[in-house]
Amino acid sequence: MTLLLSFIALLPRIFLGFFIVHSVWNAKDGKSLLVKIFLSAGVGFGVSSLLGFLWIWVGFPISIYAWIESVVAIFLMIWLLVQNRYLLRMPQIPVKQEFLWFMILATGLLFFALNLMFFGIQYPHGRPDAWINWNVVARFIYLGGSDWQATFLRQWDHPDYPLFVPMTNAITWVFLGSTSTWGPIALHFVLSLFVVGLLFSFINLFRDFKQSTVAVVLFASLPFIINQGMRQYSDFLLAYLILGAGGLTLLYLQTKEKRVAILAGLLIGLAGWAKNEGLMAIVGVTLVWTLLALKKEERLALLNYGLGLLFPVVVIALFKLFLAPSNDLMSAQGSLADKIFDIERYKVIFGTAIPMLWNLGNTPISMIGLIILAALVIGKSPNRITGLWTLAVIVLLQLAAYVGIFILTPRDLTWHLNTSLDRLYLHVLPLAFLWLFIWLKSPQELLSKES
Amino acid sequence: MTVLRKSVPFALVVLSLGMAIYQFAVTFSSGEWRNSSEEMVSKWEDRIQVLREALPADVTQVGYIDDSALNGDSSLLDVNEFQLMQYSVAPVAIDSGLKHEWIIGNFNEDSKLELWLAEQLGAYELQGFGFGLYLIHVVEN
Repeated sequence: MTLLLSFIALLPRIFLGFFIVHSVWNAKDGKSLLVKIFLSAGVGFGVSSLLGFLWIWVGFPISIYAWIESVVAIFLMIWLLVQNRYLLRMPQIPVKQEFLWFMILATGLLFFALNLMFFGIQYPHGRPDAWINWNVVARFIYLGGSDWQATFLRQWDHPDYPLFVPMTNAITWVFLGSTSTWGPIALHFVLSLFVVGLLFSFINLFRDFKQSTVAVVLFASLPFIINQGMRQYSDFLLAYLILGAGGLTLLYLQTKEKRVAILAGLLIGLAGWAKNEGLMAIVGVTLVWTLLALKKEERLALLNYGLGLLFPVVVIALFKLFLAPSNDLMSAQGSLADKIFDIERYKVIFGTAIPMLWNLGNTPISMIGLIILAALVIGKSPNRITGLWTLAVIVLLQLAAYVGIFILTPRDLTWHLNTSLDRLYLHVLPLAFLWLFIWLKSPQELLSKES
Repeated sequence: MTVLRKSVPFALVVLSLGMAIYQFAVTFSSGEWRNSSEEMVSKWEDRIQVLREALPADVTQVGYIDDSALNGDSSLLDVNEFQLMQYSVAPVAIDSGLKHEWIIGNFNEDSKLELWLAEQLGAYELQGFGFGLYLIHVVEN
């Protein structure tokens, strides 16, 4: 019963997200609608957590916020559905024509959901960082009342981490009436499904149904993805938001729909509210949009992107300036020059990073090796997608930023690499999948006569 | 070669589905999911429940000591148990040391505890909850 209630408690915020996404980008075709649906969890939980944070910071109780927000979100969703009852077209899934591929997709999603569920049941409190850094903060917010800021007094962890996930869980607990572990389990289950859904819907939009099926079945079957999805950390959420921002950037380049830029800005802004590494993603994606704006006709789009970015960035800045203690990595810097010019550090970083990338996925055979082999055999799609390079640049900039962190880290380098590197790869993995499966020839193209 | 190329995507999805089904079969047959109450954090939470209930409602921060304090070497602090304790007693923040009116004690070896507390604190009240868990109330500083 509590599990069911946990899912129901998340629904109004997903409605809120859909309302925001649809209000900004009002495309009504089926493929775009699918993208909008799978963006709605990130936008809804994100905006809700930003507003909820401001609410409790002012000193109001979180319970009142949770109820007002839910009532308003349900009202807005009903109003939207009534307004658009003749306009919204559901996505056309070619079940009869593509029965085999549809069954493959359904089986892949079924086992993905089952594997997530069993991981969640096996580890109801998540894995260590969940209780050290994330769910513990949600307890301070939900149980602490006006004293919730005692969370910043915590020792031996990271009280400076942003509040996307803790606020979201605290709001769910308002409806459950307790700090039930089902609340965070439901959140991370939903987020995991939405990551896979968003990857599917973007590839379906840019390529076709079969290609998106191959991509998500491969992605969702990785033990690494199941494990990271249900650890109850913020890393998979960050990966989702980076995927959303990257996919929307590409969508903008195809459609030149300037309002899509607002959503791209909002999504990447929320990434900075999900994890500190999201702040680097803000820099990387903003750099890409700035490069695009070198063309005069793209200037308005950059302005819109900035508009979307504004609200999350202002809240993050307020949080960092007035509440959060300084970050342990930033406050413990020794001599930067010594580290930058120390060749041994680069050897250790790449000596750990390359083998870990090769073995990423926790699969019996190397996923990266298999993908490289498949890409060599299948080859590049003849249908060019404008601006696909932007996705590769976002991925590379993010990875370059992580190399920079490892070079400068005040922690023991080997320990820091071993405890975080796989999660850092995770941040860009869905976006890298999106890039690869748009670049790669699809099954449809392989079967065509010209192939 | 053409047939091979055309079958690659299909081979990829079949391999992936096989991996997902295998993972599910291994998890299901291991049976660990049946005993979530036996999972480490759940057991810890059960153990701490009485201590959490004994904490006064108006307290926002308490002290925390473990065997490292009794041995006089703060570098031996069990950080994992400190973090678990923080999770369990939130929204009360715990602060390593004796600086607060209320102090949580978490020991593996507590035979010399009362003698040590008398030396360090003077007057105090001690509540024990088993498993080496204590709540110490400093009566006067």
